[in-house]
Amino acid sequence: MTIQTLTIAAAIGLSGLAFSVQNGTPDNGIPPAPQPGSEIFAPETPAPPQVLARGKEMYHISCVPCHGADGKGDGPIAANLPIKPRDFTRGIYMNRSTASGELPTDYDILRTITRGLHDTPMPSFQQMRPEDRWAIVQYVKTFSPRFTDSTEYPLDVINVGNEILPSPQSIARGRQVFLQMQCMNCHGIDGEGNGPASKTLSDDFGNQILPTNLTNASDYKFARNVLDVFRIFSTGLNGTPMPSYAQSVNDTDRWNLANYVWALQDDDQYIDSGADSILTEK
Amino acid sequence: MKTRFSALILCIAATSSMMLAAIPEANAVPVFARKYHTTCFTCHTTPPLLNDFGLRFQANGYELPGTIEKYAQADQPSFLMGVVAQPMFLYYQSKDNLGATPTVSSTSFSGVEVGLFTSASLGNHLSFYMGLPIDYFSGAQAQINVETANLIYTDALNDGTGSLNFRLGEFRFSIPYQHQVILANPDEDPLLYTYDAFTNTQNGGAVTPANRLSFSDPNFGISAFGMIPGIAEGLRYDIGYSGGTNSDIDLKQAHAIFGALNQTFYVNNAPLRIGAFYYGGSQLTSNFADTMGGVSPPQWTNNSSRVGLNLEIYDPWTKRLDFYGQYLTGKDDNVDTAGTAYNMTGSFVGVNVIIAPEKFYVYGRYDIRKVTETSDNANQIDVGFQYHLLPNAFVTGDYTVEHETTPQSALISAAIDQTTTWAGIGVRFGF
Repeated sequence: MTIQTLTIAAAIGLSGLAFSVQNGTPDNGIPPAPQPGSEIFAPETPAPPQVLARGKEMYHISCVPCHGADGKGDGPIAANLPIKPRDFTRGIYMNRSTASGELPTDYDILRTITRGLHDTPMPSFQQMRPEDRWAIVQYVKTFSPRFTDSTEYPLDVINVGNEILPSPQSIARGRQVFLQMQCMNCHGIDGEGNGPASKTLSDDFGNQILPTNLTNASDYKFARNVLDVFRIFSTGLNGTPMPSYAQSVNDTDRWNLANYVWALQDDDQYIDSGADSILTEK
Repeated sequence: MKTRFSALILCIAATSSMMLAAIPEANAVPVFARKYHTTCFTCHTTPPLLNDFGLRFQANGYELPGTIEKYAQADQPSFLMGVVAQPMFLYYQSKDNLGATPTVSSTSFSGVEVGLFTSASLGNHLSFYMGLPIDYFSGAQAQINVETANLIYTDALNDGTGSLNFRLGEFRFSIPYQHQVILANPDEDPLLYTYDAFTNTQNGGAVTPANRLSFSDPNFGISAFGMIPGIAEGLRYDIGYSGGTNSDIDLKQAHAIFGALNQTFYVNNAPLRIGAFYYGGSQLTSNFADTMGGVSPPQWTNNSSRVGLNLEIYDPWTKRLDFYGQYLTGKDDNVDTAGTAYNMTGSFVGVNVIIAPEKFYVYGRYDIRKVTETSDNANQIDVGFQYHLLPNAFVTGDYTVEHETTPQSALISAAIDQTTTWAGIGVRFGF
């Protein structure tokens, strides 16, 4: 029996083994989230030096190619990415659970590292050890003086309120809110990301950005469920034209809006909801 | 001629359209991108050209840098097999400048060139990688081969840095630039990597190593590899031992060791890489021409060595110009029963130009190779482009001309002066 034959046999065996073990229950590695509204991560309790040292080491292994050694988002491959890596030095974060304009919590940064940003070059580092991810969070914070500015605290972590489950009525009401709040200017009348202003948007770093096509699940960078959509409506995306609706839309209607937007991904769910007929009847 | 060219363009357009129509979504990408919920461009400038993150991914045993995979898959079930296909139209011309043989030219559709690959974690620290190209030659049945298949033990130091990994199986050593660009030329490696001293022997290649030491082919072996962080921005290494060939290996007949070091520095965040590598060993060699008449072929041992230096630099301003080059010298001490030694030297320089990120790339490369004893001279120039229609599908075109001259001598029975041209255009896509 030749080595080639043995190799083929081993390869087939490995494939089978991989398929057989892939149904194991993976640990998503995310520590429990802090309670909404809790006041945490105050600047007077900085991370210990050994945590920062480990964070720096892991940052240089995993993050430098995109974000750069200085955290300016200008790493070796950044120039060749249409979606630019985050510049950590300004302390502006999109994906947060805090009020508009505020810093993120440590958990917010950890969530991005752990989940990644879907359909962007930012991968999920779920398989990195939790303590290493936490260490990177602490190190990343050192790039911006905002994190040591006591006037930035306490952080106002948004309250998710009472969740409203998806229903035809909720989705129909969400559609009304969508129109009332002029969401279609950017996201388009059908949520396809093709509104009249869609080609004119840029972020605070001067990069052109496109509104999310809400009908395409692959286009959602931050949201994995309705709760995430609700959170984005509540916090806005700092540094982008996406505002927070925490002040202008009440909790109930933000949930309705989230249910409507989430239903847009699935034509069947949207049609079955009868939202269009409910709106027509009204 | 003009009519034929127009017909060719029409065929390409029609084929491209059909291929693209078959791609369901732009986010349907090969196995790694699917596995890590990201895009091809996390690791590639344009496939298969790796960016800095991709190099670290590779150096970490095909796992994200800084991670140790515990499970076969991430939190979502994912199909483990990736598919890459590249149907192309190819033009080929071989011209004997001495007029000894007629000029040969042909235009053909490459048909189906499909590569399958799979990789998965088998648990804590253990993963595998396997590549299975499907080869199809006109008039023959398609064949599926296991080109690479190896087990990888990642992060042996268990510190999350991935600075020490082991690999066992059939794999290519980490030769820089082996697949820097996609080439239509089926002889797609640099001239230096496909150099075979035995093809230039007086008996026309009848001398055949029982186990060829080859840069181009995957080898069965074991290696230690990784990227050591903290030494500037990363010292990438790969050291190993192999049986020297990829088929019917008899480890008693070939021994080879390999070592490569590549140090990366950053100038204004633009990568600057300097490296060196060595590949050498011994192989049992036979003169199979002597088997005619029932005579047992004479056997002897050839010792080969290759030493190379390489340099790569991105321009520090735009970071969109990637210049690279390599110098290689090689020696084969017994290419025939008379104990003739061949010394080869060569080099190549190339540039990849990123005109529009994730969209449009052009490239060019110039190769030169010389063999001292036979005065064989070969040079080759490649130019081409890749235009992404989708993240996982691009049109690629390439033009290659190779010119080789060898004078008649005591070692070469007939002079050679030959120009070979390849031109190709096609679509490459993966899902």
